[in-house]
Amino acid sequence: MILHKLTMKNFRQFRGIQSIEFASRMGDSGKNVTVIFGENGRGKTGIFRAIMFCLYGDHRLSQDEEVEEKELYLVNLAELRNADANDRYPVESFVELEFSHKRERYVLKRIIYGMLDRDKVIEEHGEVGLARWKTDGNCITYDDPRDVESIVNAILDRRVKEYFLFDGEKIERLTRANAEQRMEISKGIRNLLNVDALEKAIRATERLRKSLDDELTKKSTGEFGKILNQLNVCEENRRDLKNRLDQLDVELKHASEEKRKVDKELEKFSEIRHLLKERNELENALEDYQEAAKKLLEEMKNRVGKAALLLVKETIEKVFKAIDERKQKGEIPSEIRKDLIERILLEKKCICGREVLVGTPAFDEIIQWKNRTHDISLQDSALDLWRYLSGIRNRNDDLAETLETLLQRYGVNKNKIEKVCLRIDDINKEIGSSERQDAAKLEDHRGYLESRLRKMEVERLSIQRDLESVNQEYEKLQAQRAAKEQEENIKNELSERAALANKSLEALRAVYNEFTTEIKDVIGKTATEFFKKLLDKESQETLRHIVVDNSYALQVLDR
Amino acid sequence: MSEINELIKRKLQEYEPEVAEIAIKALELSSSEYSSEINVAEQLRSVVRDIVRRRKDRS
Repeated sequence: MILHKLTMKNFRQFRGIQSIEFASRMGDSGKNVTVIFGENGRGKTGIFRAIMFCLYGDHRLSQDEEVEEKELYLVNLAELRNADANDRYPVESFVELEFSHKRERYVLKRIIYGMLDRDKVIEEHGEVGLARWKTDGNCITYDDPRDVESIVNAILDRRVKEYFLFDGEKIERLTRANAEQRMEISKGIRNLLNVDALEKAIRATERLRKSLDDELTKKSTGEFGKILNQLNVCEENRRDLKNRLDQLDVELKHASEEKRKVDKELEKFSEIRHLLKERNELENALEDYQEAAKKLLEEMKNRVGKAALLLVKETIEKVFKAIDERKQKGEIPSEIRKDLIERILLEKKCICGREVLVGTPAFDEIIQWKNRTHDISLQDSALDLWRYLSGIRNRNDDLAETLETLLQRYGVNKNKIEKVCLRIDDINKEIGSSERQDAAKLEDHRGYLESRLRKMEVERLSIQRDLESVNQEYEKLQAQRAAKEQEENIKNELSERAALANKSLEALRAVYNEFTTEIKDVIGKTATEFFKKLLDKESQETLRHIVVDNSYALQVLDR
Repeated sequence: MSEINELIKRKLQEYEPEVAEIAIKALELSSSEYSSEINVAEQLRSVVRDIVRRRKDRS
C-alpha cells in the first residue's frame, strides 16, 4: 500500500478542508519519503488518526488505552462550537485517502457527523465509499461498509495493521530491546502467521475428541471399555508431560537468555578485571583503615577526658616552680624552725650559750631568719602541694606524649584513607558508572544459572523419555482399540465420530509442526536479509543470522 | 493473511478428504475473533456427525 494524498475536513484539529500530498514514486518529485515533523500537539498523531479512521473506521488508537471515551472526539471542536452557536447541526467531518496497491489505485472516503450536547461531543459514523481503479482503467465503486472492510482487509488485515501503520511512539516502543519489545514482535508474527487461529483449532478439536471419547467410554463395557479408559489416562499423561515440556522450554529459554546476558556483562568485565581486583583490594583496605581510625578516635576520646589538667599545665608549672625554687633555696622546709628562733630572741642566748644582744649583727641576722621562716603547717601544705604537682606534671607529660602519638597515628591513617578514596574514585571513573556491578557477583549468578540449566536439561531429557514411552503406549492402545473394534465389530456411529475427530486432531498437530517450522525458517532468513541491508559492513559481519524462537520472538545470533 | 490460510489449508488437504474437511473447518471457525474455543468445538461436533451420517448414507 502506497499512500498518495490525505484530505481531511473538520477532522480533529484540522478545521475546514486541508490536505497533504505524500511523496511517492508515482509523484513528480521522484522522492518516496514524507517526514511529518512538529512539536507536541501540532497534529502529527491527528494525521495518523485520520489514516486509521479512514481505512478501518477506528475511533481509538492503541496508545489511547488510558484516554477516556469522552475525550476522544474526531470532529473539530471549534467547528462544533461554531455550529452550536449558529444552530447549524450536524457538523460533517470526513477523511479521504488516496492510495495504490499492486498497481491499482484507490480513493477511500469515510464520513463522521458530530454535534454538541452542552459540552459533550456526540458523534455518529456516516457513509463510507471506495473507488477502485483496476489496472485496465475500469473503476468500480463500493458503498457497502462490509465490502469496503473486506477490500481494505485484503490489502492490509486489521489484525496486523499496527505493525505497518504506526506513529513515532510505537517506533520508540519497538526499538526498546526488552521483554515488551519482544512481546510486540512476537504478537505481530503470531498474528501474521495466524498461529493463534491454528492453535485454537487444535484446542477445539482436542476438546471435541475428549468429549467424544468420554461418551464412548461411558457407553463401552468389557475389554473395549478398559482399553478406552487406559487411552484416556494415557492421553492425560501425555498432555501433562507435554505441558511440563513446554514449560521447561520456556524456563530453559529464559535461563539461557539470562546466562547470555551475564556472559556479555562478564566480557565487559574482562577488560577491566585488573581494575576491579585493585578496587576490591582497596575497598577492603579502606574498611580496615576506617576501622582503625574509629578505634584511634575512641582511644583519644577516652584519654582527652582525663586530660583536663593539660589545659592548666602552665599554671601548674608556675606554682610547682615557685615552690621548688623555695625548696631548692632551703626555705621549705626551713632549716631552723620558727619556735627555736623565737626562744633565742626571748632568752637572747644562742643554743651554743653565746649571748645575742639587741643591735648586734648576730641579733639582726636572727631577726631576718625569723622573717624568712614560715608557719610549720604552711610549710607542710606547700610540700604536699609540691609533691602533688610533681605527680600531676609526670602524668601530664605521659598523657601529652600518648595523645601526641595517637594524633600522629590518626593523621597517618587519615592520609591513607584519603589516598585510597582518591584511587577508588579514579578507578570508578575509569570503569564508568554503568559498570559498577561486581564481577564476582556476576560469576556467582552465572554459576547458579549453569547449574539450573543443567538440572532443567536433565529433567527435559527424562520427560522426553517418558513422553516417548507414553506415546508408544498410546500407539499400542490405539492399535488394540482398532483391533478390538474389528474383532467385536464395534463400528457404531459414536466410535466413528471419535476416531474421525482423533485423526483430524493428529492432522492439525502435524500440519502445525510442519508449518511453524517452515515459516519460522522463512521469517528468520528474510529478517536476516533485511537486517543485513540495514546494517553497516562491520555489523553485517558480526550478525550470523536471525531466528524465530518458540515464542515467535526474533533472536539475533551474532558471532 | 489469506495466503497463510491457503498455505495451511493446502497442507491439510493432503490428508484423507473427511479428515481434511474437519481440520479446515476447525481452522476457519477458529479464525473468527468472536467464536470461542467451546463454540468451535460444538460446531465441529455437528460437522463430524454430518460426515459420519453422510458416510453411512453412502454405504
